[in-house]
Amino acid sequence: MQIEPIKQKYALLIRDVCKQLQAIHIDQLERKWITISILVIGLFVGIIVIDAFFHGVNPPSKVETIDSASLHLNEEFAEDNLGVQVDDKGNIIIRMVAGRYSFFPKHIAVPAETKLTFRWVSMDVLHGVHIPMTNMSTMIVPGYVAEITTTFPKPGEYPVLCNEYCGLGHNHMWSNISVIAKEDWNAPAKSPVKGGSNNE
Amino acid sequence: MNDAAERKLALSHLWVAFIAFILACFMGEYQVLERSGLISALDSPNVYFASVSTHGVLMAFVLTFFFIMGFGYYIATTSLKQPVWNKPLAWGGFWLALVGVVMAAIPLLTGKASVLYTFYPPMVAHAAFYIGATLLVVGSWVWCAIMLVMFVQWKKENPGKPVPLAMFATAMNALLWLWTSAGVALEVLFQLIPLSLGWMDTVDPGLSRTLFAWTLHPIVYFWLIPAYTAFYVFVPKQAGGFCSVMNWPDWHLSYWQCSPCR
Repeated sequence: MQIEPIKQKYALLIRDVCKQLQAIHIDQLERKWITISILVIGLFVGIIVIDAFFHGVNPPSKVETIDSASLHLNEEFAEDNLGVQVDDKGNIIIRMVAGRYSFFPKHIAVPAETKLTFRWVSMDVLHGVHIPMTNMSTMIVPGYVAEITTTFPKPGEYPVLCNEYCGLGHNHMWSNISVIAKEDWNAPAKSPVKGGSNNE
Repeated sequence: MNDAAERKLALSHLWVAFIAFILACFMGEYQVLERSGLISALDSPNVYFASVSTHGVLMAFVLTFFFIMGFGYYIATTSLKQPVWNKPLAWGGFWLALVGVVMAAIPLLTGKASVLYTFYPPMVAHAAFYIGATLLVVGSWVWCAIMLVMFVQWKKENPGKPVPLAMFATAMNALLWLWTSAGVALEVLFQLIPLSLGWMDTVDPGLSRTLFAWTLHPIVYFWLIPAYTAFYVFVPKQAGGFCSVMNWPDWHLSYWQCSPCR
């Protein structure tokens, strides 16, 4: 394949486009608004870039699969392992199972102003989790582990709501979470658990 | 519009679009009333989610597709001043899409497809719902093909001249839709129809979401381009003014003239 003629053709095309662009008459007022639009776009792109590179705001990109049909046989998400745990490095890890129509365990207590790692799995269909007034919001896709690390700034009682349609009982799917002041919170007695942290 | 035949074609699409719209509006009213809890006799998750699913399909797919198809036929015939290419094919696309809508409506209204318009696998609806939705999408592909053929025909008959802006936008919308609807087509053909017919036992919902997302967001652009077309072409004309943006197709089209299309 000959590259040179293609190169020439595109060079010609670009030159042609530039020439035509320069020849376009653009009204003063329109030119002003075009500039403003470009500045607004530049501002938004800039904010996204700064957030991504300096504030670490990124979409969760980790992909971790799990067999949703056998969660009860899975060591990490067996019934005894659910809820709040502190691993041997002192990290707080919360394992939650979503299923028609609740989140299990039904109620958990976590400390405020502390880094928390949530690991959500679904035992049946697609669910979502949303904790109002916090930034906890993710889709829980069966077959995948949804891991979110977050910090809850304010103590209080929060509902945990399903925000992805999961069947006729979807609007009744919710549970509770208590966010407790950091100094009042005690780690659950039964920790750490083996098997959990080396799966991560 | 050139003549009665073109008018009938475009208007038939718009009639279906707006009938779907008004039905979906009433469903929306019912849904608000049901969720408000004011009338306890209305309380029924079965009816509620059947209604939400039908409402979503009518608003996001039926209104969207039929409106844009009707709008496109109108733009093509008026801006290019030529009749719709292959009218029997255009009517074929219309009827294919309409049969799809009716086919999907039966399981939707009987509560056998309460999976919302975004499908939500691994929940499974009756196969007729997915097949109907597929026919609707295939009907819209017929429209895309006709728009592109008319675009190329006009270019051949008018060498060196820029395609009118309205038609340029419509043809680009057809290209955009052909590409972006491939996601949902793959999901329905290779995951949902085999699953609902029992040919497959399992499905990867992560893959389904990814394929659907490929289509879902561009549905917004499928609507935006006709809105832009109206704002850039119809509104300045109605206002009696002249917008210099209308000169812009000159350079868009120079791109087309050099492209392999010619």
